Amino acid sequence: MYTIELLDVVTTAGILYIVALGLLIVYGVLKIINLAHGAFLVLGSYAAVIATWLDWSPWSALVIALVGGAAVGAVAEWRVLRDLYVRPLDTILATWGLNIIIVQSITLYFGREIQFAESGVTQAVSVGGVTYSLYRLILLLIAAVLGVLVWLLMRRTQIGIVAQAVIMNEELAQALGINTRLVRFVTFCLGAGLASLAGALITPLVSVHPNLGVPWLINAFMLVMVAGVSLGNLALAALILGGAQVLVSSYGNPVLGSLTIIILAVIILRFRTITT
Amino acid sequence: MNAAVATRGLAVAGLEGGYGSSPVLHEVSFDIGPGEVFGVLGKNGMGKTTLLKTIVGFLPPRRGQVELLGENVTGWPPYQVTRLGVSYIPQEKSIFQDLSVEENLRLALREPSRFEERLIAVAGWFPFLTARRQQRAGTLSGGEQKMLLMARALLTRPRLVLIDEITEGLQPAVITRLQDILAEECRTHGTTIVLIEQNVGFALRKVYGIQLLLLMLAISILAVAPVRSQQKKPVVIAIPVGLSGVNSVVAPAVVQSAQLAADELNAKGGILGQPVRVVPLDDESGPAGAVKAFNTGIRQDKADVIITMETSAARNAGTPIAERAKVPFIYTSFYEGRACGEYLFVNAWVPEQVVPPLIKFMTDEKKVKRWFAVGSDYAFGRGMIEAAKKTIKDMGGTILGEEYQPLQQSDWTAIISKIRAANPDGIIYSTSGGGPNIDFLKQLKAAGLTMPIGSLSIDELTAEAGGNAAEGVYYTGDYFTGIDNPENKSFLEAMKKKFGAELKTPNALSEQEYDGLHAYAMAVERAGSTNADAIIKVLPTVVFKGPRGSVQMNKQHHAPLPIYLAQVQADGKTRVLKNFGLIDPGDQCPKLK
Repeated sequence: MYTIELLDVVTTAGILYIVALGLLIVYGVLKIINLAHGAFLVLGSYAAVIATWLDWSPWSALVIALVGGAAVGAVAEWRVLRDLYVRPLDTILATWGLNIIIVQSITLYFGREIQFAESGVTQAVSVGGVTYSLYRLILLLIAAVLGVLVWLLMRRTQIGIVAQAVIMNEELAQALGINTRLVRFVTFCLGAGLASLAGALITPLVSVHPNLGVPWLINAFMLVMVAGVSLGNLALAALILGGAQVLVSSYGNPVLGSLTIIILAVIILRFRTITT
Repeated sequence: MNAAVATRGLAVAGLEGGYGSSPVLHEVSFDIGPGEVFGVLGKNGMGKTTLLKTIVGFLPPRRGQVELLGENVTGWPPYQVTRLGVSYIPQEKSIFQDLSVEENLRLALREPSRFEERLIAVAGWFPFLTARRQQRAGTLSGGEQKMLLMARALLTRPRLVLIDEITEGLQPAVITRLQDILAEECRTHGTTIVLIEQNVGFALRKVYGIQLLLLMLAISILAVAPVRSQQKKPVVIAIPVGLSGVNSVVAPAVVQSAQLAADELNAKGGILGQPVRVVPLDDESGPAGAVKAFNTGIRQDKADVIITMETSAARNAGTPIAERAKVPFIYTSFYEGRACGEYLFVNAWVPEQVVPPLIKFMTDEKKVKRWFAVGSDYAFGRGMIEAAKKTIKDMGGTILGEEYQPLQQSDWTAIISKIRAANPDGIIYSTSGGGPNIDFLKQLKAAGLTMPIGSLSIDELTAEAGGNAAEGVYYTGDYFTGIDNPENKSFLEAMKKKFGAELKTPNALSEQEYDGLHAYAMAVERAGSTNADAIIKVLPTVVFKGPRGSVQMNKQHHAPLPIYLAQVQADGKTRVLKNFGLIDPGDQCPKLK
């Protein structure tokens, strides 16, 4: 009976999780909010456009986005951010500047008009008696896979452990001989790559143009503020906030729905006692 | 009275100067005594204004000396020069438009306590000043503004007045008034006057009985700007358009339309034998930019007419400026309707023209009785849906649901689920332009919803960029590239030929610019001049047969338009299905004839 609402809630949460993941990782390790996150989403969307131009499979866009986003992230960390970590407020300016540079470069090359990108999946399937978008279901699956992969990376690999150490106590990590500079570099590349990947993943749902990143950046920012640096919290936050948005939009209206994430985020932050 | 002090007037010796690295003044020297009038005559671009600006201190002299009232003021900043007793009346932007008459005057006076006394003195010449001292200076007529300038210059009882072309555009009666006032001031107070004029008569007549020194500018000032007096004055068409901001996708196509029309007109010998000049200006897609662009177009470029596509906010900001300056303004963008002005004309559609035909078609041909209405949450989106609902009710249909999505939100999940639950016969929607159409249609398609869809916001370029996302969508409009008539074919060919690889595909927001220029040209030819009041009388009588069909702005400054029905094909291209014929805009501006 409530199948549609249930599907809407979980798939919306999945999409939000995918979009916020890169931002959370950068925030956790580097302690900065990467305001260029939206620009990396845009980069990923244009990777899908390029794949269409080259007549490659739409799925190849995911690889292009991950690699391309990580590469741009590498240059940005190396040339812009590296010396700014000691001045956290300046990183806000620097990453927002980076956002403008990336978005304007894309605008210069592609123009402001919307671009066409081929979608791999456009059909709908029958789930529990209702017809539902297959692609949204696939995104839910991808969100789960990405969550598990990142969790494994953080808990089961050397780089992940090192990153955890840096998150918990950076000074101590340095004292133990960890090259925090390299950790930051790798983390930022990973965050940028994941953001671009997310951009390529949402492309079949949205139109591709240079400013598509902004609304997603705002939602991702809210989620990360609420979730802190925990992957589990992020999933929970995506489910609660995204779910509330869908339900308020469905039973109320979308204008109220779009306020829901922000209002809930503020309430949660007010009563959350553990600061991470 | 203070004759002892004012032994000298203005002496300039070997003055050289100009802007940056381009020299304009070369070895200028002259000497004017107190109570003398000095006329600087010459054509545009000879350096007259540069001379005054260098004397007052706005431009640094490269060499030479300026001696004023016995002081060597070379290199002084303007405010110090002025305080010696100098009034400078610049040619442009010399009034604070948004301040009152009184505030404008007070700004000139250093001793506020003497304001009433000095006002009485100058009000003898300009009685309207006291009566209208609270009025905003920008609302004064052109002649009154010049008189206000003169009053402000004389209010301080200056010993030297520098006037840069005050007679331009004034009626002969006003000019005579100003001449008399200056002559009187000279005679009674021994004021020295330096006049810059193209109007030789003004400079000569006003100085009767007083010594005239005529500087031969051709000898002492090297003209850097080429003298263009041989050419006829062009008809200037200003195009304030969103070259940056949200309209920057479509603006280049608008400018290209204007350039083609101007080329065609010039190839036929211009308008009334005068060449046509198109001046694109950036309105930054918003009201603040529009104010700047309109002012630049009207004051600096001396636009005869404004013909452009803009956002509604930009149009609303620009219209009063055009009205005040009495410059005809042809608005070429479809919009929400009911924008009225004596000088404002619209040659594109309003909702009354495109919404009812689409709803009627879907009701009659697609058998849509139970509708779902979806819009982006902003004025235009909501206005279009309101218009659609009205027609749906008139046609006996029902509305199962009506939903609005915030502008920034690109996830339509909740609305699509509501549509599915309602299961309507058809959907009518109006998002904001461009991307949101595709967001919505892509997600609708992915959700497997296949009922007939009518769009009030899609356009050809967006549909094509969306690939197959918009397949099957119906929409109406006054221009499509696929309109099958000889005028459209030759328009598209001419555009392709002129712009080649640079061509921006003509669209439903840019073609009207082409029509606008041609309609204006026909109006000028018929009126026999570019005089604004003559033009606005004639413009409604002009019929231009262009790519859209025959268009005449004869319904309260709006135009009945040929409206076409189109459908998006599987490859994203748009096919024109039928022509509804001329559709009336209805009562847009009942106060206008």
